[in-house]
Amino acid sequence: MDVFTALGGGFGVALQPGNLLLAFIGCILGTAIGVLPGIGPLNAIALLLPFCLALRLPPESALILLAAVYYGSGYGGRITAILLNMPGEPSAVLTTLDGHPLAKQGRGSAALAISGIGSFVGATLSVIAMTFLSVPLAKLAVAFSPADYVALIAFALSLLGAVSDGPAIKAWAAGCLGLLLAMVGVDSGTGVERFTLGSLELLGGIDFTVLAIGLFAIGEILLLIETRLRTEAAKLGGGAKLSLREVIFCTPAMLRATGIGFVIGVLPGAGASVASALSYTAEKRLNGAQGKFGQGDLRGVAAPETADNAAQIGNLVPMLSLGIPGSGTTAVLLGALLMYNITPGPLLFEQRPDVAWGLIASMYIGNAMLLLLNLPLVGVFARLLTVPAWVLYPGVLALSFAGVYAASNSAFDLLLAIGFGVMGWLFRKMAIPLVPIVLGFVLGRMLEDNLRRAMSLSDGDVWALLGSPICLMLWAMTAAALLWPLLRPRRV
Amino acid sequence: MLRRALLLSPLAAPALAQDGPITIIAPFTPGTGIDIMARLAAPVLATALGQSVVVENRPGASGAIGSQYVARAAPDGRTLLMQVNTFVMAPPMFRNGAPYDPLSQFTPIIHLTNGDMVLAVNPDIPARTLAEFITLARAISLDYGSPGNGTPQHLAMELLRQTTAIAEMNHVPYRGSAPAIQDLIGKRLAAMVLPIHTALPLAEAGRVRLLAVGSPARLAAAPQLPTFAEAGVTGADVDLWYGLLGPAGLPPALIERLRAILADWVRRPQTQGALVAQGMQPVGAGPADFARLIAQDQSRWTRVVRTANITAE
Amino acid sequence: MIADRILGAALIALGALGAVSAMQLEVPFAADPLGPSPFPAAVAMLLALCGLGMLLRPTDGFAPPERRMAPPLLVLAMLLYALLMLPLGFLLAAALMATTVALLFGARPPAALLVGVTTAITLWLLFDKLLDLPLPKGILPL
Repeated sequence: MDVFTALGGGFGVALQPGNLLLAFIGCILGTAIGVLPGIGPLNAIALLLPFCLALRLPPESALILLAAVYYGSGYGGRITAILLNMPGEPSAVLTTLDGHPLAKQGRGSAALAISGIGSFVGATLSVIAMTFLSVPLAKLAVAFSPADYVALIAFALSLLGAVSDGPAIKAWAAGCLGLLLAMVGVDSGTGVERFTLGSLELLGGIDFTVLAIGLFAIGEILLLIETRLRTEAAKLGGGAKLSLREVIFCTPAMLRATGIGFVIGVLPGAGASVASALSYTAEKRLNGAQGKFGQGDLRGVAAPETADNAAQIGNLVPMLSLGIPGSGTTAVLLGALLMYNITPGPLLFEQRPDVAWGLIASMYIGNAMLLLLNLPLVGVFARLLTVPAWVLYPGVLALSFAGVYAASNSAFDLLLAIGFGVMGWLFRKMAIPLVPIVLGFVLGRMLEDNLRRAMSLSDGDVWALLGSPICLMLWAMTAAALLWPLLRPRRV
Repeated sequence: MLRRALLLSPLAAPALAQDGPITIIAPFTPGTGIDIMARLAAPVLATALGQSVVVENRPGASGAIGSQYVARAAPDGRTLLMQVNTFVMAPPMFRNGAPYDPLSQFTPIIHLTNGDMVLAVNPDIPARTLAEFITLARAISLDYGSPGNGTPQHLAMELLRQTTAIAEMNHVPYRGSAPAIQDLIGKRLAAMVLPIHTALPLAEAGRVRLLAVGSPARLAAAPQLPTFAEAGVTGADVDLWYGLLGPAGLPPALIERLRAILADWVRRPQTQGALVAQGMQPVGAGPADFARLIAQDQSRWTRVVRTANITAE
Repeated sequence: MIADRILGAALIALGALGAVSAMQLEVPFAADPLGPSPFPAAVAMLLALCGLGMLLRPTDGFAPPERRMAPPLLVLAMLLYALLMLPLGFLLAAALMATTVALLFGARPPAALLVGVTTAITLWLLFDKLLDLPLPKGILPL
């Protein structure tokens, strides 16, 4: 079938005025919701679905609205990540590394602008790649065995040392903590309780929101309150706007990130976090000496953002060609389709190409709309934040607590968040990076699951972990990443 | 707010619980059959009750985490549970003591639908019929996958193995169906029991081969597939049942109200389309019948689990 | 230096405890050859090793806060919020906490009170009324 005609058809639908309006509303709503800690795109979608049905929106329009909300909320998460050092979701965590320093230098709007541009570039190039490469990539998706995943995640984790500038051993300690935190709760394979200390609340494990809000938001405020009082406003948003030259400067990073993000996104379950982590560390390694990664390098924002969006499009490849949902996102978006009696799966392309391509086009439109809204939205938020610290931070703290409670209805989670806050504060004072904790947390479960599956399939044969060329290559890269700091020539 | 105005349609009845949303707990990840059932049912309840109804995923421990949460919730109608047979299959698997009692800690509200399952193998496996599969499985130990320990797909295969005296099959539990299907298509797994609506598109695309269905009669969606009984295996019939429950002690008026709304919904012609797309048939049986089904299934599957344990070492 | 050493020792202890706890897990029946123990035990041991590294080779110090009492007071305010939220209700607890935080950030008492009350009311309206995500009512007759 002619993919261009189909994609064109998808766009034809997406660009109708009514649908564009829906995209606009969705982006604004989504951004507003994304800024609120603890409230995620799922809440937004849950609120809007009955609305879609009541208005009898056709499926393509509903998808456009929901995709816009979804992207909007991702963007809202970036806004808080960059301006307040509070990542709303796992993939925003890496954005804080360079995004927040940029904001502190007064270039918050530039950081958000490059984030929007990076997302757009990642989405565009990935959609193109998808139209040509879906078939071979679908084969790749299926060829990845649990042992291969283990190698991939091990590789991603081995780069943890590269994420921060301090001594690698601190990054490793942080990563291990994150991995252990991921294992708190009931083990789903065997029903055994691990590290729950007999507490009922910990049976379900630790929520990402609680960890992130504690470590980043509460930790940050504890850090801020230490210093002598300043009464001047926090000027985070103003400052030099993003220049064209800077965008061009970031382009090679964005291109590389698209490649990494898209390929990893195609692997079901690998997720945007792996993609953004790998692209960030890759850029840092490549540009090491001349870059200012960790202190406000625009590429440090561009790379993970691009990779994240490319990965989300990549996630659609196994979903649409094999019926295997790649991530919670696509599962939720397509769950909405069931309201319309449309079954997502390999036959979706043949039976309802308008919906399949409409979905792709809608994700694209969502990105584009956000880019357009970028300037005004950032302006609004940046202005909102030019209030004195004693107005802003009580609000941020109360908001964080309200969000945590609303998400889990548990006062215990509040105590946990405070605990993480103290931990985050102390760690930052001791130069222990926080990002590896979160990465370890997010990737730990994936790593253990796949390790155990690989062992099941091989009946306990450990050598199965080296069983394929993909594995061997990834492990070699892991070894290289681990040994590199020891072997590289010391700088004088 | 606009949204609330839309929800308070002319059909709205007075709110049943205190204000605040009603939460249907789906104790599995988004996209699974239970999750989808919950998301289909939520707007129906919301419109009829005039309250907002949200679906909350609380996956983990084969549905035990979500179920436990509901068992401990107040019986005021604000917390409900959507479940599938796993509900009775999981507890016997916890040797440290079952995390919940499916009979005493819950109030069955309505048995919504039944789903059909089919035995699928990857195309490289040299078995075209159930009989050939059994012969092969007796000769070599095959790897099979499931969405998790204690899921209907897992125990269905176990029951098949026990009934046909296959000495050994290697069970690989996954977190959800998607990675398991990925490994089945990728030929790292030999076989898997799948819900019919997941299996048919894959079979049509040539990714898997279907051998037999676990229902008592042939399916309209796949009339060419024999049942287990027709293929020579009796006593291994399996299906999926989906139902809504609440914590123990739910007031009868509340139970009846919820049951009426959902029973009506499940039998409407428009709902048929959505259900068939999920490989389900509507049932709509009330609390008494549902409670009986749960009790029967519990003893049946507890037997399977106990037998499996003895030979698992 | 000493901060690193203390944390290093703490991590060694935590890692050791974690490894022991993981290795003592009773696996009900053979679900998979690896089981729930080895991975957490290995990571816990790795954590202990990192702790050892920090103990033996500590790096630069921990700058004590300029305002020594401010962070602990903030933690106290937050803890009180978490504990009082259910009995007193969100509005009162949040107003109290926000006011305290504003004071800690240097606002004068009347301004701090205004910030506290406004923040609490705004958030209440946003979450409880607009988004339909209920917050505890506590002792207020709402």
